[in-house]
Amino acid sequence: MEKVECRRVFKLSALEEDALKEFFNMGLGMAADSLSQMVDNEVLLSLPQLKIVSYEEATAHLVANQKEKLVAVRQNFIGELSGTALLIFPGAESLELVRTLLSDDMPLDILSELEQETLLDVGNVILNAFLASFTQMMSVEFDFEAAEFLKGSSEFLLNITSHLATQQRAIMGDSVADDERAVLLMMDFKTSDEEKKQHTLSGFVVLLFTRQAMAVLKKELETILGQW
Amino acid sequence: MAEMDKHLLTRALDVSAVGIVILDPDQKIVFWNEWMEKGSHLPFDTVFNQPIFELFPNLVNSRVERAVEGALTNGLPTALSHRLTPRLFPLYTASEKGGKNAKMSQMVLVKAIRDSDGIRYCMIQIEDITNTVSREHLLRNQARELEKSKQIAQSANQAKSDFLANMSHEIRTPMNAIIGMSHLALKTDLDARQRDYLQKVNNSAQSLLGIINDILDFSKIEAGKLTMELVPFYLDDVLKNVANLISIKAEENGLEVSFHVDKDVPLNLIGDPLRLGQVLTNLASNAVKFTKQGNVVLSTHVKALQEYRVVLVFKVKDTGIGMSEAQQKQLFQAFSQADSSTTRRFGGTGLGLTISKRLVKMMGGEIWVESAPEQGSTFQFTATFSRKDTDRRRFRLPSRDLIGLRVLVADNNPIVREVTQKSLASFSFQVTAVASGEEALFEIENALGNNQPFEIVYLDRNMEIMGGMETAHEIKRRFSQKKLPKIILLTTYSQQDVVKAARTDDVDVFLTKPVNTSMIFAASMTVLGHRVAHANTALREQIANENALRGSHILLVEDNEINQQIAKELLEEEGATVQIASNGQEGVAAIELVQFDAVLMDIQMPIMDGYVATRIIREDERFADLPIIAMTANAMASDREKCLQAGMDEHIDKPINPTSMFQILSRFIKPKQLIADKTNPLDEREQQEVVAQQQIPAEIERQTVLLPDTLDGIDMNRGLHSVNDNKTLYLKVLRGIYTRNQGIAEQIKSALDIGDGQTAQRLAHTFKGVSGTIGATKLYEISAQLEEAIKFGDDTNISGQLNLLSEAVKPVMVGLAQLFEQEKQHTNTEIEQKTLDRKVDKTQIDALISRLTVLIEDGDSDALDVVNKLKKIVGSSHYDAQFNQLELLIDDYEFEQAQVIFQQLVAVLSEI
Repeated sequence: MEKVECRRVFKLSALEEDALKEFFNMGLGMAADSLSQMVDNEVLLSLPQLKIVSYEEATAHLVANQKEKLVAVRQNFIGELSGTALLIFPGAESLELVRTLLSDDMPLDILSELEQETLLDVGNVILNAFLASFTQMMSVEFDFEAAEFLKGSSEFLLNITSHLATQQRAIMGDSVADDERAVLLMMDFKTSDEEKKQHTLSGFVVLLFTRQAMAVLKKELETILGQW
Repeated sequence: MAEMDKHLLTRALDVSAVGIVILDPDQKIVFWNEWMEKGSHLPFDTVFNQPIFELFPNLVNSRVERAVEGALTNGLPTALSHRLTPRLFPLYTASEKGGKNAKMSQMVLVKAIRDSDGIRYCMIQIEDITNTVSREHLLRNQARELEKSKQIAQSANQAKSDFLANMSHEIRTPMNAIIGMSHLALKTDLDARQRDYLQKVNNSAQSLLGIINDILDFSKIEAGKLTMELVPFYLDDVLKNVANLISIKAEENGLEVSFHVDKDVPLNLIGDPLRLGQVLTNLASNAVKFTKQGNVVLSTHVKALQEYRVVLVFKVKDTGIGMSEAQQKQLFQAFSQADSSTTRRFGGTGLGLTISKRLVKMMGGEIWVESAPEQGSTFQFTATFSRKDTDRRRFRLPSRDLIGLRVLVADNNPIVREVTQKSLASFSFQVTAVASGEEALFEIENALGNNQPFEIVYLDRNMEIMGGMETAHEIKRRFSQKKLPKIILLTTYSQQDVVKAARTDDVDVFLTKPVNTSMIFAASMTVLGHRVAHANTALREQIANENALRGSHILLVEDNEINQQIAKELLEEEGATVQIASNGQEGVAAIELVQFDAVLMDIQMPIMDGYVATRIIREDERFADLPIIAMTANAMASDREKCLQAGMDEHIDKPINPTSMFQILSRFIKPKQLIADKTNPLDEREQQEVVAQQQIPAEIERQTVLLPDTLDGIDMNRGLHSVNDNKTLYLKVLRGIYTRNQGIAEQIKSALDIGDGQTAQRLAHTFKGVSGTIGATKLYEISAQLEEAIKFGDDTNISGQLNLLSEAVKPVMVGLAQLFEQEKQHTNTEIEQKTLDRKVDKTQIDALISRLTVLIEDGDSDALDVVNKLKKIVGSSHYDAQFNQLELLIDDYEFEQAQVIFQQLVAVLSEI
């Protein structure tokens, strides 16, 4: 494939971007509902930013926001449209999220085993909501791997080969990381606790696609928009 | 992958360490491994083909059900955590924890899997995390316990340091009285024996204060509460202070103390000047204490110099008794001096060096000693400071022409001579040093002959045979035709008054020893007619105007009458006029009416404390530059901080050290002539009134005071003793109690009734103080108990003590009533005389009274101004109590009560 063509493939039109945003917002509403029920406290989620960027840009964005090790929940999806969905937090923020959600006052400054589990649960709920609203629109079939808890640098987390090692074949056609595209969503969490002050913290939802998958995605979007 | 034996795979799932359940698309159980059988106590054949949520009806509508539905319809996996999933499978843990059949804590994964036809099935995987949960539960409790004990420890520590602060306050307040009063008494006419006694009282009090300070510092170190400040300071100021503190003692011992600072030592530093001064003073006063004859030299040089940091070495060398090696080893331990016999001989707690060692460590340095018996001792320490101004040349000559200027130094003490010579040489002067007046004359003559005359001559006043004064006189006499050098005379502390009195034309500048480099530089530049750009406090004190306080007008805001008296009299001696306000509110009001040069502000006061008063004053732009100096007896670094935050300029420790109080005040009070240019808000008449008002009390005080032989419930001897036998003051305090504290028990009770425990406690505390002062022992004891009871909320004790108090107050007040009825008649005649003398227009008083009657009736707060005018015209402090009460009431809009007081006042005034 010619390089010029590549760029064209990865560029989404404004309409296509809006459509994506719409899917994600629906997902977000579901996620917030589920979370609110789970923690018996109102949880508000909002998406202030959506960007479609290259691997380098995504890495730069995460690094600029946070230097420490990042904590993430990942969920791989496999099929015609393969990729990875990640919910990424800076370490301290993830700790705060869990403790806020659980109204926990554990005076330890690391995530305990059970807290990791809880974070996995929360991340799973959010990512599922995204993926559900996302996949329901598509005509292609998906399979999902179980959610996993990860810790690592932004370079590691944003490299699709870190995640799809078992599906090497699926990405064989794509050579290196610079061909990867990421959909980067910045997400704000807010919980309102009447007794305590309001907690607000930010995380990222990242969808990593191979070049191949991005092309499928674009086609799918065109189909959906054509139906409207 | 090769086709595997189905049995093998089923076995693998069966024996795996997690629970595995497989559901068909209709949510019916198609697989249930052995782990599940054990955990649920349900064999596979009893659950096979059963819809899972019929088997476990309590999971209907749970997260588990939604997860299963999600997996079967969308293929989405779900991880269900223990904390966020209240309803899980009813399984029992295999582990022993919690006994048999204990509920299992679970982590559940729900996933979609497809069969060979691509149909979605659901797999549930369950992990037993019971052990993890209980482990973390334990961990959590431990962490919480730890946090709790940390908090307890912290609050205990806080209590300890609060105790220290209180102790410090309680001790310093009476110390203030002892030191201040004996200082004042020493200035009165005394016979030799009395003077000796008082001098010893004063000295002992000073050294007791030193010991108390040491002990407080030591306990602060023990409590880890000693803090270092980081403020910009000027090294020479610190050295000058040390010089001031030790030079008198040194002179008494016949010692010379000299200071030398190396040329390359930067003087603008950032650190804790007070703590540095404390270490230096400790070392230097030890040196003076243990040296019978010879010299004490305090020198400073650089160990390492970086652009923004410097490590300095301070060295205190004496020619005293010295120490053996064994003695040196014990030196830096608490409560130990060289040996117990020296402890007896020289006194002291032996804490000084322990504290110094700690302070030096906090300044990033170390301290050590070199010594041998009879060979003197050299204490050295290093300290690290940040540099404020990295300009290395400290003493910049104003003109290149001055390089190589010829200077002569004549001093018979070789060490002082050398230090002076070095300092002068460091300015790139060409210095000749000699040991006597005769040699000085010879050198001057010689230099004139060679046509290289000296421009400046430094002469020590105390040279043998021909002293500095004589030499100076000879110089003027012999070389009067020639170009005369400028003459700077070095004198000692005790001589300065004599020398000043005998000021002659022979000498251009007097310098009091010990001198430091800055002073020598400034003096040299001054005689050469150059302005010193480098002015600092040490110089300003010596060279600039010596009495900034003369003619200044100072407001003293202080509630304690004894402290009022001490500060007022000390300041008046220096030529200042002092107005007193007894709490913050009065202070704020006073500032509105009269212009002051400075305010001395106590911190702990009733009605309005010093912090609040300062903040109010600072809010008004007119008073943005008014110097406000705090006086506190707490002496903790945090208090100092608080004072500065509230907007005060400086901070004086109680007990008041007169010298440092004058120094601090003169730093803030502008010289009188500058102030005269400002527009004065008072017209001349008002000013006269103000001055007259301040003079009257002083006049009354000088009169003989009539005290009865006994007073009910009062140990008068004890009382008089506590006010230094000042009968006038004693009477004042008694009158204060009589007018203000008749209903003390009721006042405390009504404060308690409205739940204002703080006021109640303060009232009890103040009353305890005054009753202690007048010698009302019983009242003192009761109010002390009462204060404690209020503090701890001990209700039964409170009411008991209140009853006791109101009973005990009665006889005292009856006794006082008799006294003051008698006294009133006595004073009234005097007042009458005074009134006639001052030609106060009685009609004016009457006019004000009738105006006031109307205003108070109308509830008009303008009444306050009229009260003030009336007070000025009446002009006697005898009615102060009533006037003050009246003012307070009007200020609080209590016009009905004001009416009562006013009528009483009118009745008394009409007798004039």
